[in-house]
Amino acid sequence: MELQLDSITKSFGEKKVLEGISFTAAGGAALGLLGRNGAGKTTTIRIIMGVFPPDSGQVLLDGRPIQQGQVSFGYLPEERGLYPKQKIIDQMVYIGCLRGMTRQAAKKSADYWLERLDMTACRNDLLRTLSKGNQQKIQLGVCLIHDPDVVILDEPFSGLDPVNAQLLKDVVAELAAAGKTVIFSSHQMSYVEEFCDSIAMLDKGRIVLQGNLRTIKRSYDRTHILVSLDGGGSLERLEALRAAGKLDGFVTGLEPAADADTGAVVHIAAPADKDRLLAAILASDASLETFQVIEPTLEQIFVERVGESL
Amino acid sequence: MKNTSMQLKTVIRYEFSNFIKNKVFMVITIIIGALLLAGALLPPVFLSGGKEEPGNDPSADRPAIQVFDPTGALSDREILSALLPGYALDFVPGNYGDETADAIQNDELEGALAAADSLHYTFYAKNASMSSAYQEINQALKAYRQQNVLRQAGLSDQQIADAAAVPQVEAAETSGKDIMSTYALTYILIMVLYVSIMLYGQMVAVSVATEKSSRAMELLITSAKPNNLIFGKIIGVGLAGLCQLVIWLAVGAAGISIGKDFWSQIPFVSGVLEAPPYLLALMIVFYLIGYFMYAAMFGALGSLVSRVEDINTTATPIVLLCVAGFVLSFTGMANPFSLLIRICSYVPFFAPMCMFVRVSMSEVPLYEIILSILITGGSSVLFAWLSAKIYRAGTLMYGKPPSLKQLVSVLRRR
Repeated sequence: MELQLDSITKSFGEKKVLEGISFTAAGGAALGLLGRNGAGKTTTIRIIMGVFPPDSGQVLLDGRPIQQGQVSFGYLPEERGLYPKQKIIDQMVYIGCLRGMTRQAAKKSADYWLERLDMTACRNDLLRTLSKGNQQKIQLGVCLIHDPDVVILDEPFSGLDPVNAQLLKDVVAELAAAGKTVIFSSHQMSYVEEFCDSIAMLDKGRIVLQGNLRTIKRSYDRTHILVSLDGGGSLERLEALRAAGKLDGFVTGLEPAADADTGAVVHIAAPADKDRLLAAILASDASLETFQVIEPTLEQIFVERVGESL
Repeated sequence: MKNTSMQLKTVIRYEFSNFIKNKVFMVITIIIGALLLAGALLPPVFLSGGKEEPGNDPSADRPAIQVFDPTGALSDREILSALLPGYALDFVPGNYGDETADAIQNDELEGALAAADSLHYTFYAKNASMSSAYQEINQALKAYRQQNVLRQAGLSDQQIADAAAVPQVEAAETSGKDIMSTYALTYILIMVLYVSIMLYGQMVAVSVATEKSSRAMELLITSAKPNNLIFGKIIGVGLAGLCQLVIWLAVGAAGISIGKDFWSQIPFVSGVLEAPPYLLALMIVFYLIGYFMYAAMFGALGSLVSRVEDINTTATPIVLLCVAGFVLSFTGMANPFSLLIRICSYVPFFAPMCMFVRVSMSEVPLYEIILSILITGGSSVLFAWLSAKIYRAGTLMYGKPPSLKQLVSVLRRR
């Protein structure tokens, strides 16, 4: 099941929020919708969910305009909230029934998700007695109670502690493995990097970068090599090698690695020069411990793409 | 995939059970029910109890009244006693004094009557001018004087009795309706409808506003059709309210049927007991339409505000409409034929109350009733539909209540 956004635009009054958003989310994979605050992530998600219609453009499902009731959505809205004064199990069952489940099925599924999210002990508590993070987990349970085909999570990690964040990551991975289409928005790059197959990066209502995360990373210049030599002092020994003229012609710079103990970063003129670098190091008396092409982190890509427009 | 009527049923069931589970709601139901039961059971016990005793034993326990008659104006003691059968008259020589006043104060005497001459009397009693004895003595002295004068003029007892006979004029309504008997029913409908709108209508508004303030709305409108959510809420709360009303009415009716002998003598109540079934049916129809229309407006209102506290200020126009309907229908009860009430019985906001006033207190052609029901019912559905639209659009408007201009633009949006 493939969800596709085609040239979506949306304005609120004079303010243009989305200016032609297009991207595709494939089934069986998680898509990360990235962007700074106010980039249009939530607006995009609300348009997918039909909270309001786009000014132009359309949302397609497997190539055809999406129709109400054609596919079941699980939605974790940015505006979180349920009934504070109601029992958790009651409201989970209620929402399940609203989405077309029988009471029995909804109850069974609610119990499954309470168990899965480690919240069974709170089954009969009032929602307001829970902490923010635990309320968030209940919201997630509500979102998934009807076993939706497409799961859309708006900032799912906000408010979760590391243990619960891990739990959420596991759940998302399970959903993707089960063939669901998962879209979620976040500005926490590390989480996205860990388990997103593809990304769509938004800035000021436009897509600035999208596609498979691995492909995107590979598309960046592979001219930074992490080198660490057996015995330590990598940077100094490489400096010496350079001073001796062994690296002339293909090394353009040297700097300490982010973690200085792990070695040095060598800048090479062209990606193909890495073989010459390797040969030069091996030709010296140094014993090689690490030789790795450094890929940019998602955070670096994000800052580079979106930060410059500040 | 999603079955609309199933969804509606789910919402109704949820909203209904929320009220039934609400402790405050239950306590109010029980307390008011108990008050109604007491109100229906106690008056027969207290008010009818005292009046049976004089018939059993005329001499015993009748309240005593001392009569001072120095001028002989009340010399025909037997006639006076016969005119005041409920009191033991004690003719005392001399004048009214402290001793008598003390006796009245100590409840040994009901009161004292002092005659100055045949036309001037003074009645002494606790709270004299308000007492029923004062009224009765007034009547008795008037009759006593008439009889005395007529007898002195030489009329026979029979002639005197003939002269005293009061002609009976029976009021016959050309419309075939006895206004007095349906007055109570109209009164009840107007009161119950007014209270229901104020109470349950506000509950709908609060219930919607709570969903908004707790930010549950975005989840709800993406899980279910807004129409189902708002209609379900109105019907669910309405059913809960109706249950409450039925309990109260049943308790009240049970209480009245226990004291039926007493209540059936009170015209106001007997009018209700003897109301024709079609009138009761119309009452239910107008009640339901009226409630539904106002509840829909309150629902729209609830989705306009962001916080529950804002409801009171924003509700003012609706409350004023309801009060206006209330006042209009009361003026209509005084004159159900006036042009004003006839016009108002087709104006949606006022029609449920005003048309029922007309139906119950005058003769209204069937087509007028149907027209009024159609207008009100149609506008109820329209309001509910608008309400669902506002509910949907209002979801994402937080902060200040929107201006009229914003509201119109929201409604025009597709």
